[in-house]
Order: sequence, then structure tokens, then C-alpha cells
Amino acid sequence: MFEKILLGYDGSPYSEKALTYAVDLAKNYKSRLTIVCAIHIPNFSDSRDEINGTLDDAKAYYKDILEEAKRKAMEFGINVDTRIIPGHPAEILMHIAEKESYNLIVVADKGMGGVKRFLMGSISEAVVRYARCPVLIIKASKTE
Amino acid sequence: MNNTWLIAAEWMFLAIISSLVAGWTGLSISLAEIGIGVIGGNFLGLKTNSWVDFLAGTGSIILTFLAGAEVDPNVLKSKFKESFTIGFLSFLFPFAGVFAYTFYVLNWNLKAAEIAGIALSTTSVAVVYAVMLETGLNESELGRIILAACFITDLGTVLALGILFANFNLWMLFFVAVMALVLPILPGLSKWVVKIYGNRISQMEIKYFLFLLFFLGGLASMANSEAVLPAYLIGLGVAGFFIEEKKLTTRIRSIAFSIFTPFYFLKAGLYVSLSAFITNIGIIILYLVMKIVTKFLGVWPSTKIFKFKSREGMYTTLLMSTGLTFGSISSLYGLNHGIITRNQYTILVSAVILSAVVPTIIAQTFFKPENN
Repeated sequence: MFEKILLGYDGSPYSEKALTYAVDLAKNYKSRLTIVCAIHIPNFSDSRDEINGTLDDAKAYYKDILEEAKRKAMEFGINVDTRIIPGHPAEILMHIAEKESYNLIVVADKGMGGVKRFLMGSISEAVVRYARCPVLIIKASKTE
Repeated sequence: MNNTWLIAAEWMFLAIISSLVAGWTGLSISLAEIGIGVIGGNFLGLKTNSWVDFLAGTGSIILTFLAGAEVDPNVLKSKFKESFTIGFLSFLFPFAGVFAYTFYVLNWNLKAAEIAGIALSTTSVAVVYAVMLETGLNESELGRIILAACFITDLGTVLALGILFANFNLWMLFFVAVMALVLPILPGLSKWVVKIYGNRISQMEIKYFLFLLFFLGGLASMANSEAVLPAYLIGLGVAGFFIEEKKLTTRIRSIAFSIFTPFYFLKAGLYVSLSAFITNIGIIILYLVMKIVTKFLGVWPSTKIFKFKSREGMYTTLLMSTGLTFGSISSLYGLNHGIITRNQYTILVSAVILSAVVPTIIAQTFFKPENN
């Protein structure tokens, strides 16, 4: 049913939980799992250096996080690949899912908070609203 | 307060707050610093002094140098005809349109109208670059043409700022002669300096670039020109070399972003008067519309000539309507040299900031090319 699963990931405890669910599903359905980290480029930046600096820092940060996530998934014998892509997380997930025909998007309910969440909107809400494939939202428990 | 260290601490504290705001909101650091500068200037009594002016001035010079050094010569060479035409018209139409409106309708004096024309003729390479990255268009032919066109527009802006207000005297002759001597040997000399003396604890190659920027900036200012003119040209001179030397760029960027550019952007914000902003909101919006319309008149027909699809043409036109760095540098130059008043500065900088935001949102929402 789910030949290809796409996971939005940022290394937060919430996305760790989503990874657990995605791995479990991939194991049961023998799916290919793609783990994606989105880099938010500062809005209305004043220099290309700021943008390039943000990209360099984020790539270095996500590289280790993704390697660890990949290692965890591969322990269960899952066929997994990882990507780091600049842009809005929800747009990236929807774009990849549609262009590469993914059967399921898995994303955590919580991630960004505060003002950034207000300005950028909820990623999970946007994905549920606009994605054209099934979406699994992993919600945080009361204690999280 | 006269204590140098406490004044420095106050500015750095505001720079830290700006960084936190940028992190919380996802806005760029520069925009956050301008915003905090506005609050500092209007509510906290933030003021500049001679050494703050020096640090801020150095910030604008290094920003301009890095902007020039970011130009990819290969991008400029490929599709030069298209990018030059779009870039030149993207400078010319807004400059002429805004100048004429400011001079004939708003009755600002000639020099102030020229500053207005320059400030609103700019295109923000950084805003365009960010959008390109997010859409993946930076790898496409369209993306390369737009980016190269932005550099041409910036060059037009810097040249106008450097030439229109200069005194054509012996100092100018001397400045031009030194630039004519330095620019041809600059790429080779810079490579040699970095190869022989680079990556040492003394950081000599960075001192070498700072010396060039200060010395040639000093000569330019003696001719009443603007120090950003040689900074951009020096940046262009070492552009191809800087693309290979990524670590050097990172080190200069770290120095600039930690000590110089916060002073520049906070200062750019502190002169914005909120009361003048509210009083002149109509003119500010009119300027924004005028910038977008004149960019449209200049850029859109050329996209048709070069057979861009309709959607791509509108997208290109809107992205070329963005502006921030050189718009704020031009306005601050006008204010610092007594060419424009604080009221006029507020109008121009507000329109410039809006031009970084509004056209980007319209382009991203309604005209994003479908094939990305």
C-alpha cells in the first residue's frame, strides 16, 4: 500500500517520534523511506552571504542528524535515503510527494513554535490541507 | 552617555536582540537589525557618534565588496546580451521615473531627487537569490539570466551613486588613475597574496583587502564620490577568485556580520522617524508602486523580446523590483551628506524595505513558474 514513504524531519523530539512511526510502517509495508530536512532561508535577506552562511550552517547541522536517523532506520533493514533541501518545509514535502509519487507523508504535529509558527504557519496543517496523498500526523502527547 | 564601552555594549545588545528576533521570526538578520534600529532611534534615544559612523561605514563597504565578489563571471558571460539588457533597463526606467516624479511633482531639489531615483532603482540580489534557491531556479537558464541582470542593475546603481555626486577635480583624476592601475592587476595580486601569505594567524590577506577598501574608498571620498564605488569594483575584480576561496569569504563574512554590519543596519533603522512614516505613508506606498511599475516598463518588454513565457516574464519583473542593500546605502549616503532630510530618508528607506517584501510575496504567490 505504501511503497514510498516521505518523512519530514528536523531532529526534534517530535520528529524523532514521527521517525519511529515511519520506520515501523516502512518495515511492515516493505516501503522505501525518504527522510527530508528543510532549511528555512531567512526571509528578505540582505546579502547572499547571509543566505549562503545559513545554508552552510544548516547543512552541517542536519548532516549528522540525518546520518543518525538513517542509521536507526537501516537497523530495521529499511531502504532509506536522506535529503537536505532549502525552502518552506510544507512546500518541499508536498512538491516531492507529488513529483515523485510518494504514497504517504509522515510529519510531526509540533516543531516550530512561537512567532515563527505564527508567521510561517503550521507545517502539518499545510501538508494535510494541500497534499494529494495520505498524510500521517504524529501528535505530541500531553507530557511532550 | 559618553562612555565608549557602554555605548558599544548598548549597540551590541541591540544587535543580539536583532539576532534573536531573526531566529524567532525567520526574518533576515539585516531586516531585524533595521527594525530594532527603528525602535532604538524612536524610543530608546539611540544615537550615533564618529566611531559608530566608522563601523557602520565599514559595514556598508564590506557588504558592497562581498556583493561584488559574489558575481559569478561565468554567469555574466553566458547570456550576456539578455542579462545586460534586462539589468540595464531595470536600472534606467526606475531611476528616470522616480527621479522625474520626485523632482517635478514632489518638488524635491535636484540632488535629493537623484538620491530618490538611485535608491529605488536597485534590485536586491540577495532577495532574488533566496527565491531562486527555494524554487530551484538558480540552476536554470532563466535563473542565471535574472541573477546576472541583478548584478548589472547593482553596478548601474553603484556607478550612479559614485559619479552623480562626485567633484570632477584633481582628486577624481587621481582616483580614476589609481583604479585604472589597480583593477587590472588586482586578480593576480590577490591570488599571489593569498597563496604566499594566506591562512596564517596574522590574517594578512584580510588586512590586505581591508587596506584596499579603505585606501580606495578614501580616495573616492576625497573626490566627494562614495566609498562603495571602489568597494564594488574591487569585489568584481576578485569575483572569480573568491568563488574558489570559500573559506576566505566565510572569514570576512564572520568579521563583517559580527562587528560591522550590525552597526550599519541599526544605524540605517535609527534614522527612520515613525512619525514621518505615518505622515508620509501615502507617498511611501506611491513610491513602492512607482518602483514596481517602472521596473515593469523596463524589464517586462525585454523578457518578451527574449521570449520568456508570460508567467516567467512577470516573475522576473517582480523579482527585479526587490531592493534593500543599495537602496539603504544610497539613502544613508544622501542623509549623511545633507542631500536629503530625515523626513525624506524615512520615505525612501521605508519604500526600499517594502520593496524587499511586497514584490517577493506577489511573485511567490501568483507568478511562481510552474515547471520548478
